[in-house]
Amino acid sequence: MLTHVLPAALPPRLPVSPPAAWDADEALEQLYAAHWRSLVRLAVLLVRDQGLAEDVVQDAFVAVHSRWRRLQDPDRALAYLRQAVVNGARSVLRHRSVVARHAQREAARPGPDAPGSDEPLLAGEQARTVLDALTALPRRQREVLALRHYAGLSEAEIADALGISRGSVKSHASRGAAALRSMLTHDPEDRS
Amino acid sequence: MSTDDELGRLLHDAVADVEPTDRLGELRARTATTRGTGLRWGAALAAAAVVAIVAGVVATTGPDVAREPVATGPSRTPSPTADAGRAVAAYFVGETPRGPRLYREFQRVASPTPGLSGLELLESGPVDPDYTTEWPAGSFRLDRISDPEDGTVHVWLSQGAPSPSELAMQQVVHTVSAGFGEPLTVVFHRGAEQSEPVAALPQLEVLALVNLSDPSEGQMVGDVLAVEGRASSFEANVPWRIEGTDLSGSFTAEGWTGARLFPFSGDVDVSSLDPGTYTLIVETDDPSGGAEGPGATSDSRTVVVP
Repeated sequence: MLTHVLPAALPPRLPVSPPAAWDADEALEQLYAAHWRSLVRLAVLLVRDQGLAEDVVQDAFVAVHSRWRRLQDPDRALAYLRQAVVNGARSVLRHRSVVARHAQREAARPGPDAPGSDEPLLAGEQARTVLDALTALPRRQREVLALRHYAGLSEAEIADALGISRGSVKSHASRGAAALRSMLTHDPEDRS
Repeated sequence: MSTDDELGRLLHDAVADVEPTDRLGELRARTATTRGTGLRWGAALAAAAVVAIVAGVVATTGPDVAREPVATGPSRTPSPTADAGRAVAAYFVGETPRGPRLYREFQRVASPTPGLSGLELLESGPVDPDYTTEWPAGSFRLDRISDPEDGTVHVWLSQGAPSPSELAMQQVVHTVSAGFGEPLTVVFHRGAEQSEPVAALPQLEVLALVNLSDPSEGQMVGDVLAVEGRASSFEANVPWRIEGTDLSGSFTAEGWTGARLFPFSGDVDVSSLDPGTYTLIVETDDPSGGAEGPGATSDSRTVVVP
């Protein structure tokens, strides 16, 4: 039912009735199918904890549902979802001090045995190291890195999503990348 | 761009094993319109009524709508997005020595709708990390806000929204009044329930006593940092400093002996600063040095010297 030809390289993302005809409930289903996993993963990069990440993304979907009538477009909806995820992540980090809790949990962990119940799938040591390093970054740097290198947004899109200038995006991106690299090349055993 | 690719691969790998649980059913339930409430709306109704009564007594000092520079916007320093959209005011919650108060923050919105855009900002949250919002995403039925009629606007909350606190309702009253450019009372609806009209509390009781409009959070600055805001501060003095530098001084507000905040503005020469991220702090003047009263209220912004 697509009315225009997609480039062959792109998978047809939404091969259903025209988005403009969707009501909010249909839009929710379609957006969920297309973006739930990637947005939860984006949120994990921001808040680290998968359960919290799912809460944040779920809230974002509720918000997009309530304003579908004004969005009426999957691309704008996705931009809105991302923005809501970033804001939601910021708000849970602020309110629940996840970073502090996680640090305590890491410190209390006796050895490389069972991971915490909320992170059964973050088993890889490399993955854990990267997520730890992200957690240690200033919030804005973490957001910019996740949006740029995971979500693949342009500088202009990130500036829009975060409400900051492109210059700020650039400087957060370069500082964040440098800090992340230096943390990751640091001795990974030195975690006490 | 091999370094970029490397970072992208690291981040993708870091979450490649994250397999989210399916929460579509939960989502459907949360977005269904026919759900019961089961929340403590009664308490909020009672609070709303009290607020309305209190506010009714002092109705002459409503929100500072005359001064909302919605059309001019906060950003005088040119930036790549300076001409995109318009600045919309939203009132967020921040800690002060007098307890949580409202801070006004401007955010740029592509093509704002009066009233509605402010509510969207309340949901999407502040840019300044020192502020919070009491309205999580999904709180409002954004397809259902009325136009002002006889000084009242009707706002619908979604079924699952928690009962708002008094400060949360003040966030809405001040934000909606700024959006429509007139002092308004707000009637809150949730399903079949509705509150009494809620009016703005007096500025000096609900707003932070100093509040920056410019610069915006994370703004890039050139040699001159243009500062603008409003305050109610002793003898109209508004001390400022840039943390970690010896730059400091004082702005003078247009007044201080009234039941409202007064505008202040000034330019700070930051040409001596090395590239980096800095924090501008403005405060109310506290001649007692904290010995009397609750102490100085402050507001801050992060700025970037490229």
